[in-house]
Amino acid sequence: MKKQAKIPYQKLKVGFELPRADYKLKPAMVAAYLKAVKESDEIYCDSKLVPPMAVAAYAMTAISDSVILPPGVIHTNGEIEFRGRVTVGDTISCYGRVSHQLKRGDIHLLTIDFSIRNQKGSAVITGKTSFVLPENGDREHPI
Amino acid sequence: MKNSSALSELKKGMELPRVSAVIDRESISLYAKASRDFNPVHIDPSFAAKAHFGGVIAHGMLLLSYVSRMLTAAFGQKWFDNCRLDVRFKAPARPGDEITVSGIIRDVESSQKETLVFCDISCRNQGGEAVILGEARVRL
Repeated sequence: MKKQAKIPYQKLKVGFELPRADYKLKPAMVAAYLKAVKESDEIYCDSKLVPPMAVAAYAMTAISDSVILPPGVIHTNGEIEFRGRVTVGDTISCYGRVSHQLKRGDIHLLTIDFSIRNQKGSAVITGKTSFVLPENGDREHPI
Repeated sequence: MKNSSALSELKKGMELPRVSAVIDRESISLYAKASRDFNPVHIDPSFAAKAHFGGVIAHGMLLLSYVSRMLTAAFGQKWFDNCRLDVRFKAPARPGDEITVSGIIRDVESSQKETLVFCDISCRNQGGEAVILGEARVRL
């Protein structure tokens, strides 16, 4: 995955496009995910299919890697549309755009629209994810 | 439910196969490593104790993996190809909680081209409190 300069979340404005993040879905990554979520469906045992929620999770982490976030970020809601299968070995590109940002008291509300494309350029997942960010930290961490 | 003949028999009011999982520190830790999501509200008890929820909570995306398990059991690979999931995180899931994921078919719309299945889904803890509420739309 490419390393990008991180952007403080306070500087994000509606319309801001986060740097693209690319990653290859390696067998060990997928195996670790399946173990962590105790997924044993034969669909994954008999094929190279990657659980769609794993792809969404990797993408959210990849997108958030480009932002300096305070500790204690909380995920409030999400809309995810799964549009195509992803298999082990695919290379995924994640695109994110700030679609909503609001400061209310000492918290920030942030919504990021995202799109995940495979190596052929086809969108495999699209959606939006929203967070509450407490304004109390100068530490950083991935979501 | 996931073979094609069973999928053709889906009807309003049918329940999806339930999924249950117990949240523990190990599963949260494994998920943090697998997803590279090291937010301290999930993995640092001393930080989490002072944060909004007063203790460690599970990743929302870990809970959604259980929703995914239910939808995979119900619809097989169909849900990989064309499914929309809208969810709201209503309450935290904490270590020791037993989470039950359930779903019910709210509507089935069939046309010559396709069938759309609309499901209400929920994740509830052992006390019946809603942790996640939402809906899934699967195109068959």
